[in-house]
Amino acid sequence: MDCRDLRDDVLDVLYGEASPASEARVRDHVASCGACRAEMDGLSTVRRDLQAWAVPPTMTTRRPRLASAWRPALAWAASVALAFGGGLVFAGMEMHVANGRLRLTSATEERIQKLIDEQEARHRAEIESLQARAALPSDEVLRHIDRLVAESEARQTRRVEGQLVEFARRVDGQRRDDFARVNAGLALLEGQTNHDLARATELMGYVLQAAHEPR
Amino acid sequence: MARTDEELVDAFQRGESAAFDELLSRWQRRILGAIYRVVGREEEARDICQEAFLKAYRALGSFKREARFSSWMYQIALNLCRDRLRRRKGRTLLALDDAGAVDEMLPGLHGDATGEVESRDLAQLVSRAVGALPAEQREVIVLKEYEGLTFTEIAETLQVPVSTVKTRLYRGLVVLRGELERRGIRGAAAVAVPVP
Repeated sequence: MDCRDLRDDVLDVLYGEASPASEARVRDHVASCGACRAEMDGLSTVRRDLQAWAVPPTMTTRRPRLASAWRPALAWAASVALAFGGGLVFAGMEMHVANGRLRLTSATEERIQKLIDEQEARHRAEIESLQARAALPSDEVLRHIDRLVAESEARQTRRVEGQLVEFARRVDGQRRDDFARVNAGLALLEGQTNHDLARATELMGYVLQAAHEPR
Repeated sequence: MARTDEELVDAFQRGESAAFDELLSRWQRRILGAIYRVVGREEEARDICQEAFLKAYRALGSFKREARFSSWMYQIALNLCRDRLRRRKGRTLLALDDAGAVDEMLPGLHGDATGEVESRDLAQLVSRAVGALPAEQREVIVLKEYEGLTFTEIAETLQVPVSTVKTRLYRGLVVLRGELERRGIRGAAAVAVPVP
């Protein structure tokens, strides 16, 4: 038999829930299987160790005892007494006369209602706290935000202006540079032209003079 | 003669609100103990226990008796525990990977030459070892070892088959045995029985 097949039966035996048939199966098996015998011993031991962990004494302190079961006879007698008005508290029951009607509430209901009210108050407080944190910013905070935005915009504007000035300066510089070169070129051209013109005039003079001399 | 849980539920559903009082008195300590062992924190356990009984009070009027009152009560409590543990971002109380952290918290607890450890220290070790189990195994260990529920009752509470309960219990016990033996707690030697 595969030891695994017996695992559920082993647990039943360990916890006292085994049928006679299961118990016999396990007993017969562990008699011849050292591994399973050791396994059962090991599980028994760890179960014993687990019992060392007790719930702290403060957790087992009984809360104030709730009202014991009401006593109908006494309640009835009290209700009779209440027919003449007033309130009466006894044996865990509380009775009120409200709007001319007798109302009986048990301490259990009141206690439960108190627990519910406390829980709702806690939840309300938590919700209010969350709402406060999610609330819209106050005027002062909004003004502060406005200031921060304006400062940021001013910085941006200055940066852009600076960049434009720099650009204009460079463009102007380039323009003057180009203009100077053009002038220089034109001057050179003009100079050459004048020289050629003067030379041509001189030559023309020689030609004319030669034309008018006797042969 | 004390009324059974079922009789008290019937009485409550007929309008006898004091019947809940009796159920509360009967089950409060056990439910509180179980919750404490699952979540590991005293104050949190009290909160959860209070919430569990409030839920039960509100729902008992329409309780259909498809399960025992006790199973239903444990179910409510364990669901609340799971919610609370999930809010701790799904961590187990102490992962076994944090074994180093456990060593730090409990120095010198590796047993003396005979392997004996004082019972107070053993209780602490056990609580941490149980707290380090995966939630599914921890729940079964608590319900079986400390609450004494039968396999059938646990299966009813957790709404899983009995075979699943036994698998989780077995695995939990094996892990716990390994953890306690690692710390020098007396115990049987580890046996190579295959874990299915």
